[in-house]
Amino acid sequence: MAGRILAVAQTTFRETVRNKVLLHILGFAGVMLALSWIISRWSVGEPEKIVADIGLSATTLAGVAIALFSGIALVWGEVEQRTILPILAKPLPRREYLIGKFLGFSAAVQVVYLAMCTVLILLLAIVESGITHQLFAAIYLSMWEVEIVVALALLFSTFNTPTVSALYTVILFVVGRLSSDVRIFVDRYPETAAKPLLEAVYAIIPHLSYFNIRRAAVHTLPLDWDRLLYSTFYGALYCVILMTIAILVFRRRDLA
Amino acid sequence: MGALRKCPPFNSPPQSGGEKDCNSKPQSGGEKDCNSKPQSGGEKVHNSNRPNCAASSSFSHRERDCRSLTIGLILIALGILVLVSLAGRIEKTIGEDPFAQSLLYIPHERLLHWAALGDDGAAADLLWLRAIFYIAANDMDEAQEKWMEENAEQNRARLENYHASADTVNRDALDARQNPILAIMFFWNENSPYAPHLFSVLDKVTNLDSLFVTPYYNGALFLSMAYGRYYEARRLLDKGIMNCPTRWEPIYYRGFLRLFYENDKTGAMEDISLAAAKSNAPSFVLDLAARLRAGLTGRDAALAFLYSLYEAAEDRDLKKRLEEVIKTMTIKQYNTIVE
Repeated sequence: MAGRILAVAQTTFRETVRNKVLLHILGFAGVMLALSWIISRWSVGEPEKIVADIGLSATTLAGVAIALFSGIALVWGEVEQRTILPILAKPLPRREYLIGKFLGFSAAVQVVYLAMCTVLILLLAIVESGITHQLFAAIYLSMWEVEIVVALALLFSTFNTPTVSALYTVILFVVGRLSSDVRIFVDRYPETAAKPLLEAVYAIIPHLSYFNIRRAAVHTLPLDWDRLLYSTFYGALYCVILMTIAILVFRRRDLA
Repeated sequence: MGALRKCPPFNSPPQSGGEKDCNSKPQSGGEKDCNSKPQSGGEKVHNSNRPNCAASSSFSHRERDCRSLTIGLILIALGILVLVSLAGRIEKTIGEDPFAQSLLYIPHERLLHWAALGDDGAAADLLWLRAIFYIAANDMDEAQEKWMEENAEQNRARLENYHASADTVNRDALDARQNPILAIMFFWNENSPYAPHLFSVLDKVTNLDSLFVTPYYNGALFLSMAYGRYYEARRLLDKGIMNCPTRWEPIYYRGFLRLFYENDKTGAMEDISLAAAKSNAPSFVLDLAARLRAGLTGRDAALAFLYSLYEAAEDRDLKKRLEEVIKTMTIKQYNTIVE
């Protein structure tokens, strides 16, 4: 089983890395990083803070963009082009195919994300900003944020067209990023019949704000190790749940 | 294939709009087909002429391509000229200072938080840069520079009087216009209609990222010295002291404001001593605190403070102006000692 999953993962990794969209987004991230360095020169004071802030935001957004634009067509494209049929004709269960796809795609996205972060760290070293353990913690949690977007994009790509998948993923990403504001909204909502529904919606949206400790990284604030640990569990469990839903949907899908 | 497909009439210059198919039947109007049989009364056409036909056609294609490219480039250039002219007209309708006007429309920090998808630090950075651009755009103009040069002697005399009488409390002199030292050191823009909005922008920056210490003290310096808005500068520094209790800069600059705007030596000394006690305070702050405690008054205190401000200043223009004032004051002080 592991061998079959690994084979699918390897193929997906190669396909993703060869995708031209990746190059465009990498170019965009490179421009953003260069821009963060240029505009930090214009600031009166704390240029390293500006590089770190904009650099961390840009790399995370680029990681999410790669996950989104490459992920939304990952399964849908193969179903539409019928290239999935010879693959599934082999003794390969659909769940293993999906798990392999997820692992390969995640690995490709994370490798690219880490490459961008390496450039950012070099840039921070150039502007003589402290390379702290908070910075690495922020990068680590952002990886989980990207990972959830990968799982979301893959889930939607199992039953939706790329456009609709992109729409759903973007909506959930934005809501997830602003989940702390959603909490405020739900808390302030009057006690009506709709409130439990809102509470339920709040509970199931991906709380991507948990993975944002960029402020701590930039201002070198003390790190809350519990938060780091719980956020890791949260991210991992969320991905498992999303992949389980994707497998359940995909196993019932008529590919003919 | 493309070269053979179309053929211009033989022995005639290429004609616009008159492209003929080599394999088509003869056309009326005198144009000849390359492969057609000789026509009565017409010129003889041989298959051996085909290469010439192809070369001629290819040449004609290139010429046409060249012509259409030239026309296209001319049209694009004309279009850009019209666009630039239109942009100029639109800018005239917007007003004199469109960048400053945009300060009026900066949304609430909550909206900025949403727009930045929770990356408040990055939003604060961009807003701070916007404030910097606004300040830079409103730097001293030529008329102000001229005024400074023409009144340099007079201002220096006023400065001396100011420091000679610095022991008397002058709590009314809160406005930069009434403070002669500032008249020499800095420019002011309190007449700018958008100056009142600068504090609002700096307040939003520090709400988005309360630990971003630069906007507190640099913003306060600009507000007080460039715009004569001492009270807002003081508010910003008080907020900075509350939000960044471990940093020396906000409290140090509050000490500066207290000395120069309120002539409150005791308060200034307290603030600078507190700033000197911070773990990351540079040596010049400690030095200044010690000198103030040793009882420096009048010109000496001002000079010591200016030295420390020069050390702390990050803006090149500010440093240059401070250097000028320090030189003037040092020469005057030396002359007094010699006399």
